[in-house]
Amino acid sequence: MAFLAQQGALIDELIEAVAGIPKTRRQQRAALRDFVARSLQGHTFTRTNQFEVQDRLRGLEERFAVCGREALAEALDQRLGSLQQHQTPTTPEVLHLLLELADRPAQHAKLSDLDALVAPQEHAPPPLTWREIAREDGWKNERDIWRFIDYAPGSSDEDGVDVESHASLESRPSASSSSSAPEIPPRTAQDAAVRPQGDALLQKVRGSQSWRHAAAADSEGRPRKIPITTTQLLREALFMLAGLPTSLFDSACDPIAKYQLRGVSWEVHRALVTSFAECGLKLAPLRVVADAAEQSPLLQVFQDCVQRALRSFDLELSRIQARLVHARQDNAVVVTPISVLEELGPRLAPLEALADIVRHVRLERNSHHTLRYLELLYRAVGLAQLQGNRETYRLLGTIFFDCFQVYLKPIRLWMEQGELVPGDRSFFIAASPTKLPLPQVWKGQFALLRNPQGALYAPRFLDPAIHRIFTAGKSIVVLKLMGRHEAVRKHKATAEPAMDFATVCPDELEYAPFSELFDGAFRAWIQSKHHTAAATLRELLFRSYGLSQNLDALHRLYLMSDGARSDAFASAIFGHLDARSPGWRDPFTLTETAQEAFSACLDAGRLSAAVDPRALADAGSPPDARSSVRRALPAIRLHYRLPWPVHIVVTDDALRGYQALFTFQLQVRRALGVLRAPILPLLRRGSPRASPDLALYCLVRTKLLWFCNTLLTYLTTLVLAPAAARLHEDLGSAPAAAAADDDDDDADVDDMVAAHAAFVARATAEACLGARLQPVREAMLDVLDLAIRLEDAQRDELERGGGGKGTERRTMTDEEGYEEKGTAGEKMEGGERGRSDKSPTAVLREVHAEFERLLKVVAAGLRGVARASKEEAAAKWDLLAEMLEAGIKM
Amino acid sequence: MPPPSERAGKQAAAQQAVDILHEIATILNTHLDRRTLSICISMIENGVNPEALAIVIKELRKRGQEIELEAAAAAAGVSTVPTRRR
Repeated sequence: MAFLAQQGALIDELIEAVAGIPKTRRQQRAALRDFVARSLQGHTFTRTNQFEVQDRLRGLEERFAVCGREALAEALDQRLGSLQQHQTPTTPEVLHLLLELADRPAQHAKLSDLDALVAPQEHAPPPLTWREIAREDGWKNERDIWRFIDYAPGSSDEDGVDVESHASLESRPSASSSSSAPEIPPRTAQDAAVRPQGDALLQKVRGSQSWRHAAAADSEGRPRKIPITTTQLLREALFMLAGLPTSLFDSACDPIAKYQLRGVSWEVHRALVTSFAECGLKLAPLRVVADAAEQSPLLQVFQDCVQRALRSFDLELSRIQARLVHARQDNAVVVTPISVLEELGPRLAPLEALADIVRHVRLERNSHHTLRYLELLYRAVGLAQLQGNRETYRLLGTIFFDCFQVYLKPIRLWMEQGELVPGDRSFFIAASPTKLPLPQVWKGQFALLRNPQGALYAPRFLDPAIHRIFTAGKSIVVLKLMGRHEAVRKHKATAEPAMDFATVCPDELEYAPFSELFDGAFRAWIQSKHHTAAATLRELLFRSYGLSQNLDALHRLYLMSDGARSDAFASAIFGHLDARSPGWRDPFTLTETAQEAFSACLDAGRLSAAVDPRALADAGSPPDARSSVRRALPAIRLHYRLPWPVHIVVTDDALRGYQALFTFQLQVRRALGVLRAPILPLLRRGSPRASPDLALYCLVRTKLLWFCNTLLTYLTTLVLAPAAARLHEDLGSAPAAAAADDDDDDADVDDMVAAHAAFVARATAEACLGARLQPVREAMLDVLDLAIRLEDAQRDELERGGGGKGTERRTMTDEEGYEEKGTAGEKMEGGERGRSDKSPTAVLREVHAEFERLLKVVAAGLRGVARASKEEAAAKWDLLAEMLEAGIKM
Repeated sequence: MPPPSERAGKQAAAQQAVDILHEIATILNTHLDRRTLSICISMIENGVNPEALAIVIKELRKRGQEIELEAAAAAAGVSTVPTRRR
């Protein structure tokens, strides 16, 4: 049996391991062997399905977890995971076998068995130690290993090597035999110690420094000065100037009084030492700055400059010390303290100026250090130049420009990208945290920071340029919002000019004042960044967003610059009012009317009309609404949708002004419209001579017509037209032609906003819509109401015809119980209630009288205010008063 | 012939695999010791069907237990016989 032959050995082992039958029981073993061979060969089982095995193992893990044996499940999972790395083709079969042999592991398996498996591996052999090696190799016995070899040039190495190899040869045959007579005595630690040769030198050094610790009292106990030599004094002074601790000067650079220069009187010594001390004191703040840990980048750059300056000074000190040392050796050069002082003087001057700046900043506790450093450096550079100290000028100028480069970084980022460095508190522009709607971004999103005193949070010497920096950044932000920023970036052809000392203050221009040089250079720098963005924004506003066209549309709409269309719209509204239909207050009808009227001259889709609910509440019932210009007309609002960049220029305040002008013009047109109703039916009643009523009516009507026409003429020709023309001029309707233009001439967005706001303010003031002319305006509106009243009376007269409609009139009278402000209103009210009693003539006379009175009020009011105020509009008011006064004399 | 280091490496890997399988066998409470497991692995590598092998092992255990009981009974019987004979 081939199978038996192959597996025989294994089967035997298996029988022995599992059944535990010893080899002596041959029969039983043979029987078992046959049984095993038969079972293994003649089985009917299929091949192992590895997926089934995996499923069973997973199921077992879940079973462990369900039975509360999570540790077991985890252990199994971990082992299966480790087994992945050692997968063989037979691994699934082995696992299958284990699964078949598993004996209720969820109930009976123990984790402690696992731990018991690991234990046998811990019996690793103990680690080898040097001691054992030494013991094994018998190092103790080999003396020669420890022999000291003298590497000095005198001795020869070969001897040492020979002796050692000889010694090792001796020791090799037997480690323990020490019978060979040792030629070298046993080595001790003393032999191994190296004797220093410089003992005498040490004593000499100690002696030379003993003066520091000499007794301050002599043998009698009297205090005396410790004498020191010039060299010692010089060394101490130079060390003190280098910022090192010394015995002659204390930490505040004050001289310690117990030392005195030999051979010199006390006063001279003190004077000398004090002059050194003063120099050191001046440098002390710089040393403090050089060692401080700064957080802000600008202060770090400043600190770096200070360190560099101090280092060059220290180099100078070293050179003097070198000369001092050589002088001692040569004995030919004499170095005295005074000569050293003189030599150091020019070097110290720039550092002293720097130290002054540092001291100033330290004294001002509340100021922001970065800005103060810049300002003080700027001032000091100018001062140094004026005083002619070239070294100081150069040093401070270099430091100033180095620090300014750091300060320029946020400015550059702002002007090129419109972005702010987050968390940077030294920059003077701040962004508001809330995201504002697009039209308000220009005005509200960014602000210039001011300190509590109101000064700008920027160095003072930048003040002229702040506004341009601000607008440049804002222009970039708006361009980015428009999505046109890429175009700007491509346009940038000019590289930014270098801002460092060598470029800005070259030697040829050393007599030019520093402030001028700096201003010029900075202006050029700003120019290279500002111009493109602002010009592009202006161009976009005019070309792409049609600023001029939109302004024209607004003027046509609100300022009624196109009379025909405005009349068409107005008459539609008046028709609704007169017919007492609710159409005038319906937004949809209004919108339709407006769009129809204005469709030819502007984009009707953007136009919509609305009714102000508050003003609507005042309007009252339809009969009331039509009887006064104050009631219905102010409620009508027009709205023209503008693209948001145009909305930046045309602010909400401006739109309110436009609306007020629109309402006023509408009111005047209402009066005109009412007055222009045909008078043919009247004339049928007879000639004016025949009926005195008719004559009076015609007179009053003419006067009212004249008044309204004068008002309208004044508004259109003297107020709105010139203002609009001036606006176009201010805006510079032609966009910037070439990039070479000097951009001071082109208006930027802020200028445009200001120009437009000024236009609206001027127009509203001249149209008597300001607060100062409130009484005059009320009087004008009263006159307009008079016109309506006149026409209403005349219509009633016509309807009455031969009389008989008194009751109807009475009911109409009751309905028309309106309240008006002012004395004119009360009179009219009284008149109205008794109207049924009043004859048409009386009404006419009343109206006439009222008109004359109001005209005088208006003219006098205008004159008075014009005289009293100094505004630009006063001239126009005077003009209007003159025009109206002509009617008084009429 | 693979170099000795590689053979040593393979041996170490195989040893590790057997260790892990022994731990799994312990978790599953199979009552297999390391030697038996090694034998089983060798047999399976030689082509033996694991299910058949499992049945064989169970049978061998049973038979082994029977033989032990017989031996224990025989030893008890031998000790009592002399007293009876006396």
